[in-house]
Amino acid sequence: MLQTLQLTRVDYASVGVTSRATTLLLPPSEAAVGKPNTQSFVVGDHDGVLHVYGQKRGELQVLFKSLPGPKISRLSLGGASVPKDKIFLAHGNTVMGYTRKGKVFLEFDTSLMEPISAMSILGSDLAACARDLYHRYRDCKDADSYLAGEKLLDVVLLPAGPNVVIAILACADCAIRVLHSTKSPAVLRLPSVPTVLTPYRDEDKESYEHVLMGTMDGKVGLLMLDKEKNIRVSWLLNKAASEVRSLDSFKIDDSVDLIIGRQDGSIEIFTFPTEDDPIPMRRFQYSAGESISCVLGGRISSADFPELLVTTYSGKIFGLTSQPVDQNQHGDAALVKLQAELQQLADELKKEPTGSPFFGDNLKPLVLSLNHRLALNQEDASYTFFLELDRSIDNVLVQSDTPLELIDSENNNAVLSLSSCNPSEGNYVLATYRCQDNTNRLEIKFRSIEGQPGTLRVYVTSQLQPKCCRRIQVHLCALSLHARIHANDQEPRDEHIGPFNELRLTGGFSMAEMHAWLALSLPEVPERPSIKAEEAEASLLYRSTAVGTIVKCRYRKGVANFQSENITSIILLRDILTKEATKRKIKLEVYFDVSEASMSRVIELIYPKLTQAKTLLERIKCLDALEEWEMKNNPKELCTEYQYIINDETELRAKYKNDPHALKRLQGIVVDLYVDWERAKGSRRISNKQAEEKLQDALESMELSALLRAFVIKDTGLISAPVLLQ
Amino acid sequence: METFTLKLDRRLEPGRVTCGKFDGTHACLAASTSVGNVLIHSPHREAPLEPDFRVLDEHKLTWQGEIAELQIGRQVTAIATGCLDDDERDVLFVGTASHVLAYQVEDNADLFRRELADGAYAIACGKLGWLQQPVLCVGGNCSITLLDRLGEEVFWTVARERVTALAVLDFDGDGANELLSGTRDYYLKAQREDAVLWEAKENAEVVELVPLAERQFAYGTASPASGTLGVYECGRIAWRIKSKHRVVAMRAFDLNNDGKPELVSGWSSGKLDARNAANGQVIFKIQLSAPVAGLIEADYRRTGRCDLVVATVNGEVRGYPSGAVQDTATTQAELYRELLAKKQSLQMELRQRNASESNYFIGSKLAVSIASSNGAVRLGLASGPGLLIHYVMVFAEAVFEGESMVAHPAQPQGELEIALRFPKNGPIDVHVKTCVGSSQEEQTTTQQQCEDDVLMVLELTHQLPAFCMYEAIPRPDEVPPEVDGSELVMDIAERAQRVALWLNQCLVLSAEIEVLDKGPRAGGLEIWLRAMRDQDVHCLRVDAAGKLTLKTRDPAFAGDVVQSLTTYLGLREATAEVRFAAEEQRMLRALDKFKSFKEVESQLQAEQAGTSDLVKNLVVHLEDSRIIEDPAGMRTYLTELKAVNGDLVRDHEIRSKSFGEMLAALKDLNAGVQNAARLRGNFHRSYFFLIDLKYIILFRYVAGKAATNVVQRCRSAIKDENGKALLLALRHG
Repeated sequence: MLQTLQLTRVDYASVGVTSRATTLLLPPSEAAVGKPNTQSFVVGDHDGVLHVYGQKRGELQVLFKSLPGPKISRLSLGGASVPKDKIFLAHGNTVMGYTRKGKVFLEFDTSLMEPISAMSILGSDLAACARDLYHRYRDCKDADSYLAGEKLLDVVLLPAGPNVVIAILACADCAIRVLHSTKSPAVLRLPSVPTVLTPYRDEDKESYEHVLMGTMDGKVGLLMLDKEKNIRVSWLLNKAASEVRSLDSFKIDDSVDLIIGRQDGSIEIFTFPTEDDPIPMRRFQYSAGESISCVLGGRISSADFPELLVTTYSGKIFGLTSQPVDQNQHGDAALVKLQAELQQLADELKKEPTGSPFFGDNLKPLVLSLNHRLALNQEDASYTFFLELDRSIDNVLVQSDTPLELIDSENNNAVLSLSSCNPSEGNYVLATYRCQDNTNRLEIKFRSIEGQPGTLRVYVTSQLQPKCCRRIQVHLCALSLHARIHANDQEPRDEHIGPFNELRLTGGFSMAEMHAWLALSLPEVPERPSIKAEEAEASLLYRSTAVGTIVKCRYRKGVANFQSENITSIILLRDILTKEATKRKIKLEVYFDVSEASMSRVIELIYPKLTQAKTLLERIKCLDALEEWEMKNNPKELCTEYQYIINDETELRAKYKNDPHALKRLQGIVVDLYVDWERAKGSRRISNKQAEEKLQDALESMELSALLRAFVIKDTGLISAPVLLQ
Repeated sequence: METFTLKLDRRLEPGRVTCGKFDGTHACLAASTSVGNVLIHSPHREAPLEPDFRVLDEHKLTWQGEIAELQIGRQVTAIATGCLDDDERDVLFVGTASHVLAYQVEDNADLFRRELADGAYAIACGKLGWLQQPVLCVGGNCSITLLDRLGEEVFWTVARERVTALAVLDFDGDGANELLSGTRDYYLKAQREDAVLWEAKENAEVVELVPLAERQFAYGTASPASGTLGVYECGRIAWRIKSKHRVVAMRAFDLNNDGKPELVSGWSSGKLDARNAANGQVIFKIQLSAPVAGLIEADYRRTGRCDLVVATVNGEVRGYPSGAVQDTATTQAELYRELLAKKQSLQMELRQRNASESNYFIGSKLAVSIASSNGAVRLGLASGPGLLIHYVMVFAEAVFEGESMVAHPAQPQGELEIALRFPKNGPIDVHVKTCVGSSQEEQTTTQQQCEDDVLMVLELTHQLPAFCMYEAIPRPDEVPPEVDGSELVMDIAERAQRVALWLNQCLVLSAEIEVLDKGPRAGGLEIWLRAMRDQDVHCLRVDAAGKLTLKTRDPAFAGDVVQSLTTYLGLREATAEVRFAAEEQRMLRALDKFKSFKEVESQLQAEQAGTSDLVKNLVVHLEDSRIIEDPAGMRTYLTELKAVNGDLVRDHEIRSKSFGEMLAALKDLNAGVQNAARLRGNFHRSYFFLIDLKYIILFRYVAGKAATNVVQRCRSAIKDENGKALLLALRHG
C-alpha cells in the first residue's frame, strides 16, 4: 500500500501573469546524463518575457531572460535530440525557437489569422491551433490543416510511423478528434469538454500511445491509441471538481503517479489505476490559493529529491519538494538579497514617476490581468461566473440590464450589497461585492430568466494604487438556460421526445447569417455552422436545463427549421430571428406548426419538478416546525415520514438554500407556457396576470389532470383584453 | 485539536449561552432553547444523595443525568450568570420580554423574579464604580435598570433605543467600572451614572460587547446581510473587520498561551476564529458544522484551568484548552515567500503606475460638487476632457439598504449627479469610487462584442456635514404655522459670528453665512432651513446678546442642533427653555395608551386563565368518555374543545397585538424622556427639569444634583400609570 506523500513548499521566483502550459522543465545538462542532476526550468509570461532559471553555484538563478514582447500563450519542447531540449514559444501567430542557452534560432510567422492557442511539436512537425483551425507545418512549410468548426482547446502530436504523425485535438463540443493525415477525423465523444491533453511519460520517455486528458468539469482520464490508431478511453476518474489546468505523470518515489493542477488552486497526486486497484488513491493535496497554470514533476532544487514545480496564474513559481523540511531552507544570503531588492523597489516607487522606463511605447500596458469564465450549471439551471485577478481585488460591481437573481455562494466571503436601481436607466441589478484583504478570486452565482436577453457587465477593481478596474461584458442569450447536446449517443431516442412544434423560416438569408442570429439567441453556438458530411445543412441540438425539453435547429441557405416541444422556446426563437432579419431588411416567411400534444408533454416534464419543489418547500416548513417544538431530538417518537425528513435535513436544507424560489420559478414557466400557448394557437394575446389568474387553482391543486385541463378547456369567460404588443 | 466534544441533543438559541459555577465549584453550561426553556448542562455534578420526592411545579428544575431544564414558558431574550453578594455560588439570570428571573440553581428556587415593563434584552452583572454593591444591569426598551441582590431597583436611566448589549468595564482607566451599552440604533455609549463619558455610532445593531485588557473592548454588530467585529482602544477604533456573516458570540481567551488573551469570535456561518486583540490578525480558525450559539470559558474537564468551550446551535459542545494553538514560528521558507509576494506586488505597483502615467490617463481629473437641493444631497461629478464616467459607487455605513449605492448610466457620461438621502443627522463619511474611461474607446465598442477594457478608478473620501439634509431657504413671507409656538430658547453667551462659523461647517451652503456689522440686525443672525426629509421649516436666530432661538416643531432636530452646537462651542452650562405643544400631547397620549393597554392585558390574562381551566375539564371529560367507550360523548367534547381552542387562539392573537402596542407606547414614552434629555444639550452632563404649564411642557435646563431624581420620579409615575404624578414630577422635579 502506498503512503500519502509529505511535500513542503519552497518558493522560487515570481514572474508576470502566465497562461496555461507556459512552464517547461529542461532535461538535465549533458555533462551529467546518466546520474541525476538538477533541471533548469523555463517560464513564459504575458509580458512576453521568457525566463530560464537554473541552479548555479548552489542557488537558483536566472540563467536567461528575454526582452518583453507580446503575450506568450504557449511553450513547448522540441528538437531532434533525445531528450528534447529546444524551447518553442507561441505568441500571437508567431512561433519562436530558443536554445536552452537563450539563443534565438527560429522565428516563424505561421500566417494564421487568429493567435495561436495551442501548439505541439514533434520532430520537424509543428501543430498550431487557432480558435477552430488546426494547422500542421513540417519544416516550417504547410503540411495539412483542418477546420473543426468548434473551438480547439489543446493538441498533441504523436508519431505513427516514419514521417507520419497523428494529431489529437481536444474540441469544445465534448469531443476528441484524431486526425490521421488529411483524412476526416475519428471522433471520440466524452461526457464533458476536454481542456488538457498531455502525453503520458515514464521518466523522460514520452509514450506514443497514451495521452492524459483533463476536462472542464474536473475529470481526468487516460486515452489510448491502439495499433490501428483508434482511440479509446482507457479509464476515467469520474469525479466532478474544478477545471483541470495541467496534468503530468511523474515518479516521486517508487511508482509513477498522476499529478493534477486545477483552476481552484488545488494540486493533487493520484496513483494510476491498475488492474488490481481500479480506483486511484489520492496521495497528496495542496491548495495554492489561485489557479494553477502549470504543474510538472522534476528535480529542481536538489538532484536527490524529486519535486513538483508549480506555476500559478499570477506568476508565482514554487516547488513542492519531497526533501525534508529542515534541509530545504533558503539561505540567509538569499533572504538578505531579496530584502535588498525590496528596498530598491520601494525607493523606486517613492521617486517621482518619469514616464515609462522599461516598457516601450509600442507595448500596450498590461495592467490588470483578469481570468474569467461563465459556466452554466446544468443540474440546477444557474450560472457561475468565476473571476480571478493577478492581484488583490478591492471590489466587484455587477451590473445587468436584465433581471437576474444573485445566489449567495458559500465559496466567497465578500460582503454583498444590493444597490437600489432604476430599470428605466437600464439597471436591473447593481450589486457590489467588497472583498476581504488578499482575495484575488471571486465566484458569483446567479440565475437568469429565459426570454429576457441582456448584457451582464462586471467591473473588477484592484486594490493597488492607482486603482484601475477591468470591465467584462457578457451577452446573456434569450434561451440562456439551454445547454447544447453534442454527441449522437446523448441525443434522446425518438420515443422519449416530441411531439414537436415546428417553426420554419424561409427567406433570403445565408447560412452564415442564420448562424450569427442563432449565436445571439442560444449559448455555446460553435464558431462555424456544424455541417454533417452527408447533409448540406447545419444542425444544432439543445436541451433546456430548466424544463428538459429539446430544441432542434436545422438550417441552410434560405431555409431554417426549428423544433421543440416547448412552445415558449419556439416563440422566443421566432421573435428574435424575425427581429434580426427585420434589422437587416431581409424578408422572412414564417410557417408555424403547433402540435396539440406537445403541450401535455411539456406539462408532464414540468410536473415532477413542480411536485418536487413543492414537497421540498413543505418539508422545510415541517423541519422548521419540528425544530420550533424541539421534536427533532427524539426522531423515534415521530412518524416514519418525519424520521426520514430529519435524517436528510442537511441535504434538504442545502437543496432549498441553493434555490429557494424554485417553485415560484417553475410556476412562472407554466404561466409563460400558457401565455405562449394561447398566442401560438388561438392567436390571442393575454397578459401574464390573466394567465396567472386562470391557472392559479390548477397550480395550487398540484394535480396533473387539473393542470392539463386548464390548458385545454377554452375559457370563454376570459376576454382577450387588449394588451400592449411589444 | 479540541480536547473534548459532546452532544447535548438540543437546539440552542444563538447568543444565549453562558456558564456559571452554580454550586460554587463545578462549571456548568446554561443555554436557552427555542421553546423557552433554559438548559443546564453540568458534567461533574454529584447526583443528589436522596431522590427528590417533592412535587415539581413548573418553575423548578428537573434533572435528567447531566442535563436539567428550567421552564420559562416565554422566549428567553437574555441569559447571564453572576454573583450579587459574597456567596461563591453563581446565580442564573434569565431575561424575557416582560421580566427578569434570578435563579439559584443549587437551591432550585428563585432568588427573585421581577416584572420589567421594558423587558430584558441584555443582562450584565458586575460592580459599577458609583455603587457599593455588585448589581445586575438589565437593558430593555429605551431603558437600563440596575437591580440589587434583592431585585430592588437601585438606578434607572433612559437609553436611545432598545438596549441590545451591555458590559461592565473600566472604560476610562480610573480603576472604577463604568457601564457600556449598545443600542438598536447603532450607538455605543459609556456612562457613569447619568453622565455620558463617550459615545460612538456603529454601522449596525450592536449585539456583543466584550471587555478586554488595558481599556480595550471588543464589539460585534449584526445586520441581516453582514456583521462587523472590532476593537476600541481608549475610545478610538483600533481595528474592525466586516463579513457577510454575523457575529454571534465573542470572548477573550488566551488560546496560544502567550499571556495575552486573544479575541475569539463565533459566527453565524459556523466559523470560529481567534484574533490578536491588538491588530485583528487571525491566529487560528476552524469551521464548525453548524452556526455557533455561544462561547464560554469554563473548567469543563476539572483540570483547574479554564478551557474555551464552544456550543453550536444543534447542541454540539467542543472544548479547546489554553495553549491549543501554538505560534508557528515563521520559518525562513515562509518569510521568503512573504518577501517574494511583497516584491511581486511592489513590482506590479511600480509597473501599473508607469503604465498609467505614460498612457492615456495623464492629467485626468474629476470635478466634484456637493449641494443640498430638491430633497436630497446632490453629489455632482464631472469628468475631465476626453473622459467619460462609467459608474459611481458610494460606500457609506448605515445609510443605504446595503453598504453601497451605485449609479450606472446606460451609456458612459461626462457628468453624473447622485442624489443621496440620509435618514439621520450627523456627520457622514462617504467613500466615492468613480470609474472613468477614455471617450474614444466607447465609440469602437459594439454591442455584440464581449470585450473588456481597463478603466481607471478615482477615489474620494468626504465627510458630509451633520445637517446636510437641511437646505437654507430665504425667509418665508409668512411664518409657517407649524413653527409658531414651538421653540427653543437658549442663552449661549457667544457672539453670532461663532454660530455662523458653526453653521458654515455643518450645512451645505452655496454661499457662506456672514454676520452683518451694520444695520438694524447688526451682530445678529437669522437663517431659515427646510428639512429635505419631511419639508418642515425651521428657523435659527441668534441676537447680538448671544441668545439663540430655534423655531422648530421637531424635538429630535432641536436635540441634534443643541448637541452639535454646544459641542462646537464647548459649552458646559447653559439654560434653555423649550416649548413643544405637540411633543407634550404625544407623551400624554402615550401614557394614556399605555394605561389602557395595561388594563386590557390584565383582563385578557384573567380570561385566559378561565379558558385554560375549561380546557383541562374538557380533556378530562373526553378521556372519561373514551374509557367508557362513549363515542357520542367524545364527539361532543371534541367539538367543544375545538371551539374553545379557537377562542384561545383568537385571544392569544388579541393579546399579542395589544402587548405589541403597549410596548410601542412605552417606547414612545421613554423616547420622549430621552428626547427631552437630549434637548438639554450638553454632551457631558445632562440633568433636566420637566415643567408643565397649561398643556405646554416647558423644559428648563438646570445643572444640579437634585435633577437626577427627576428621571426616577418620571419613571415611577409612568410605572404607576399616574398622569397626575407624572405632571407633578415634571413640575416639581
